[in-house]
Amino acid sequence: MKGNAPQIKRGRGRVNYSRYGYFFVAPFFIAYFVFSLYPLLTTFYYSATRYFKIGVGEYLGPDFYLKDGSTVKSADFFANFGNIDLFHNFKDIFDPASANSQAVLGSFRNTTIMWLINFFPQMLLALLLAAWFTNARLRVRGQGAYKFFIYLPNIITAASIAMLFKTLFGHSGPVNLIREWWNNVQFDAGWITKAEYDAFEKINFIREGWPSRLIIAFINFWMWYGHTMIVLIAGILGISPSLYEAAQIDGANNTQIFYKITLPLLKPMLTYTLITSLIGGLQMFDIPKLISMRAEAGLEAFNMNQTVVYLISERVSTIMPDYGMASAIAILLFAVTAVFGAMIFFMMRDKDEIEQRKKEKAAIKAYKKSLRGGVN
Amino acid sequence: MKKFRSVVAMLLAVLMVAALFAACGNEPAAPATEDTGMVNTGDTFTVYVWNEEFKGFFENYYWTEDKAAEFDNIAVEFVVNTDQGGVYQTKLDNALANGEAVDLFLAEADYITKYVQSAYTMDVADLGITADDLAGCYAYTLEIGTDAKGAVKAVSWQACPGAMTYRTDWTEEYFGIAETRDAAQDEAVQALVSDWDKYIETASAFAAKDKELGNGYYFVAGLGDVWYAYKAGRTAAWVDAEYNLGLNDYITGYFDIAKAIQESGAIPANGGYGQWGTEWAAGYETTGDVFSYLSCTWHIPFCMNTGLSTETFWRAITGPVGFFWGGTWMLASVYCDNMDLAKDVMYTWSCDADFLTDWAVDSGNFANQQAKMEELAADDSITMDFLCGQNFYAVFAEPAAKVEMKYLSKFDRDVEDLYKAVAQDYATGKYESKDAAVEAFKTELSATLPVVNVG
Repeated sequence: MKGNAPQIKRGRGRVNYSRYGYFFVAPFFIAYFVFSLYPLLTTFYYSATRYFKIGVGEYLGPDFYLKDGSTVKSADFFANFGNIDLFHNFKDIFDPASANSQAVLGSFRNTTIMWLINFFPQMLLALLLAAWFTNARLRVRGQGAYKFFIYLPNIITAASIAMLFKTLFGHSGPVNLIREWWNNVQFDAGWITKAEYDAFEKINFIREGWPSRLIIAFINFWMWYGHTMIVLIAGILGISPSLYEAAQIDGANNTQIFYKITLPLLKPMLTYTLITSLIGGLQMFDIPKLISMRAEAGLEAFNMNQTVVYLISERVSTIMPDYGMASAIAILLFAVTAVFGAMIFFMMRDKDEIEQRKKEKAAIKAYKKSLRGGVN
Repeated sequence: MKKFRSVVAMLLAVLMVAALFAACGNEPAAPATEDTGMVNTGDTFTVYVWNEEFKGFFENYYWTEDKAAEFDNIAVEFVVNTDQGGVYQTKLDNALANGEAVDLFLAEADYITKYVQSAYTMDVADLGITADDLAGCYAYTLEIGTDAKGAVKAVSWQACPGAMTYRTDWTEEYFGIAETRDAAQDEAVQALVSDWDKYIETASAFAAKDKELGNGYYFVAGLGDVWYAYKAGRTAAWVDAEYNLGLNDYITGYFDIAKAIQESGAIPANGGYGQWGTEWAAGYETTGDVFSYLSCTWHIPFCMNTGLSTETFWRAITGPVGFFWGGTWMLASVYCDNMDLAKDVMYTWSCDADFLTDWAVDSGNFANQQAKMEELAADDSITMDFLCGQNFYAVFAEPAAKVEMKYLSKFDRDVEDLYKAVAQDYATGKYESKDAAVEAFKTELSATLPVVNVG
């Protein structure tokens, strides 16, 4: 069946305007193909090659790897077709003996840990706040002001926030001053010995492993919980209030309403938030980059908070950028995101709707079968 | 609709296959090298820089109305790209590879070899600057700017020997040296830090005394400072021409020094104040908490003497070792289209002895003219207020003549970035032995710079 577009009835003066829609949308698609899709596809291509920049305007590659580890120019691709090893870079990433493997897998571990620490509190707090702000019975006053201040961290630039936290947790920052003051208080009150008092040292928290991870996770949490809350409020407002009224008439309390009505109907919104947060979290870059510098933090601490995109950016900003490996890491990130995204979609699927569709399909099939073979 | 869908599907498929042939484009062409004489067709004089230092010098000392009139009031554009994260080099490389009309650009010692060795920079002889003109410059500044074929491509307006600046108002309290603010005090303090062993001893003594006094002061700002002084004594290049890593006992000896200084408490925890950070800069002030800096000729006027402090209490001595710290060179790109002006800029700022001397004295900098600087060093009437009346040139003239820059490679910056991180970890006790630290360094380096043979 044709769609609802106005039909062309030749000779009767009705014109189909639907094709003009394509013309209007075309510029976006052209720009997308040229500036986003094409680079994306070439990334796939480069991830299978060895490709270095060795000087100003001088490049080594892109060459393809052969199964024995040597390389061959890309123009000879078809000549050596049987021998080409497209996954050489990926094998290097997963090879436990390789130095690269530690760096790459370590960065994935860091990214995941920092994202998880950021995400769960963020989701819980956002849900709680959204539930409170949309609760008709509670009727919170001054909601506009609350929402403004909660959302504000999202608007401040990452550079300013990074500067702020670096100073806050830095050597002469407020956190250390408070620790010093507390040390003095403890000593004056006689709770600690002189030796312990002398042993006090100011720590630059950004340069320690776990503290820097927690700081980065906290910054991301603080920046994004407002956004998540706004999205969830929008989702809750989309639920018909008659459901709430019916529940209240039936005598449900706030908790029951939340778990039995709000959450299930919020599922699409939660899926959206989960997916976007997953993508954003796996691509976390601005805060780690601004806060952590390898020469200052020490290697161990730095290796504990370097994220995947940061690693990629480092690989292409050395004196000899390694585009092949950087592309391979990017493709790996893409694969991980796709897998997790698919998992989330699968977990959040609406089982009832799928059941229904299956039944509809079975019914249609049976009907068609009956049409064909049952007219006896 | 079906037809449209199939068309789009075909298009995507073709696009994917086309990507495979992406490499079949032509390689970026190396620039033409035939001699075209002096090209002066450009309408803007474009200079690539990463901060405002040279722009300030250019506008305040060089680009007078007469000079501008001489060059038809050409528009001068300074393209500033920050040096953080290699952005400056990336943008510069892109501009050069695309053949954009970059006239002049600046480069620092730790990556200048890449540009000197490339085909994108001009021999200054082609611009009309002869070896006679350059005779007055310090030899090492020309050595760095010379490529394998002996062509000088980079010249500099400054020489950057290092020195240790110390606070005269604390020596009484910590070392019992009277605050006389003259050569006597300098000598007394220099005796305490005349080599690395003494330096570490003095640092520990300072830290111990500070614990007693409870002032919360530090002997030196951080490991970053110490490294710059130490690395100048290197006896091998980081990476040689065959891409082999050059580690030796001298270089790994830095681990011991870093550990000794960190453990004595002479620097703040976790490696001390990072260079160029706010806390590092805060130490220059009256209220600062740092006793000494391992400084250099541009560091004193550009960083320390920023005029925020109303009192002066810094003086400079040689310190534990003669070293140098960076320096900026000018290079002309092959795409220069204002060659007369480029030549004039490069000549004036590296060979014009009188101009450079005036600039140096006025701005408190150390110019790249050996004879003139030694003249100023011998002149007792020259005093610098910021250094409590010390003759700035006398401090640096001798070390400047002794600087050797034999062991530079273009990998310096990346390798040292990693090395400093490992050293800091060793200093804070994260490795049980030096060998473990060296192994960790090699492993990480082989991942970051795969071309280097870490052996």
